[in-house]
Amino acid sequence: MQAQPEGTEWVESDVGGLAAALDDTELMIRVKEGHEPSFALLLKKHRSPVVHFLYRMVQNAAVAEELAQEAFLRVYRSRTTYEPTAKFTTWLFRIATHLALNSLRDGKRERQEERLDAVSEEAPARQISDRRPTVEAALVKESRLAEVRRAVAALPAKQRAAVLMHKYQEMDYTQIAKALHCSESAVKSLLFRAYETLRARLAHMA
Amino acid sequence: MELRCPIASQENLEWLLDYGTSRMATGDAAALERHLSTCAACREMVAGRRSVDAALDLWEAPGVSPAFNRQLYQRIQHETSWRDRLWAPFRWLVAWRGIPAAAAACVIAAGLIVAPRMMVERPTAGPAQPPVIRVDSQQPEQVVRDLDDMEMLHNFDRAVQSGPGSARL
Repeated sequence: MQAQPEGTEWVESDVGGLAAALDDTELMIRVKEGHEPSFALLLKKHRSPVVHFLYRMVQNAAVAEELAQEAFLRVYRSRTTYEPTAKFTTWLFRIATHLALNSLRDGKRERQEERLDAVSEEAPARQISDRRPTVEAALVKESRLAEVRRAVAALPAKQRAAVLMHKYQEMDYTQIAKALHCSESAVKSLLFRAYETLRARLAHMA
Repeated sequence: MELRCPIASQENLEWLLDYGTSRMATGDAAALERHLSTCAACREMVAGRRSVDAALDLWEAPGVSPAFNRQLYQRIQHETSWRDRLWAPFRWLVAWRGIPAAAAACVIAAGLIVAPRMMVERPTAGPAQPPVIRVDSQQPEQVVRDLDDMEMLHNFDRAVQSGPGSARL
């Protein structure tokens, strides 16, 4: 594959209508057949959800992007052996979850926990809305956000992954179960416990 | 039919998580609503779930950096170039499409020639036998016969030397 300077030229110029015409599995089959613009299209569709999921898992933007690149690299690497046995997003999030859990296990967690107390460089710019809230309101919001992040970070890694996929990616229980290599009932139980824990920790914010 | 309490029975727990969202079927929502009107624990759970949802909504993820795609394609390029380097010594096999076919034909031909010979030269298959040392043994009668023959030749030789008339066999 040739490196793309911006990465999206293929998508915008050559395969504009491809996204509407083909679903992810069909796109991946095209990638398997050597159609590289389809890979660019899959990347465009799923890059943000994967990066956001990984960011909320590891709570470090740089690490999240590195892991997301690794996830897409693995997808590209596996293109020749790809078999559409599961939904593409399930497969992609399975890879992403696996990478995130490994990253947390490998001790990269310490780095991100340091950042929990300190306000991250990239987040505040997005958290302050255009309505220009007062400094006090911004601080309150920032403090609440830090609590949310801390509460999520304190969840066991699998519960955290389940909550993030359920809440932000709006994945169904079957998909989450496949991504986490467990049964649907185990996912429901994980989620129930996770939301209970969050409820207890964030009760005062209601 | 009355819904069994999800918390008490640990059945349909997901209803408490999904209540009020598009995940839940209308019929299920109606059944849960009837149950909520009588169950304080489930009502509290649903309220708590909503407040957690609201809190989680505060958390926006940062945007993806503009360098993301470039870095990813660089990694792909790097990996591909390494694979190319490893594959380079064998590339001519693919480039010259006739050569692999010719090589395959040669291998098959060689196999057809060599295989029958191997089958002839190695007729016995099975466990290797220890080498057998063959010792020729001569019977006593044979030795006696050989001695008689030698004596007869010796007499014949002497008869020839003494003259034609003295030859007695």
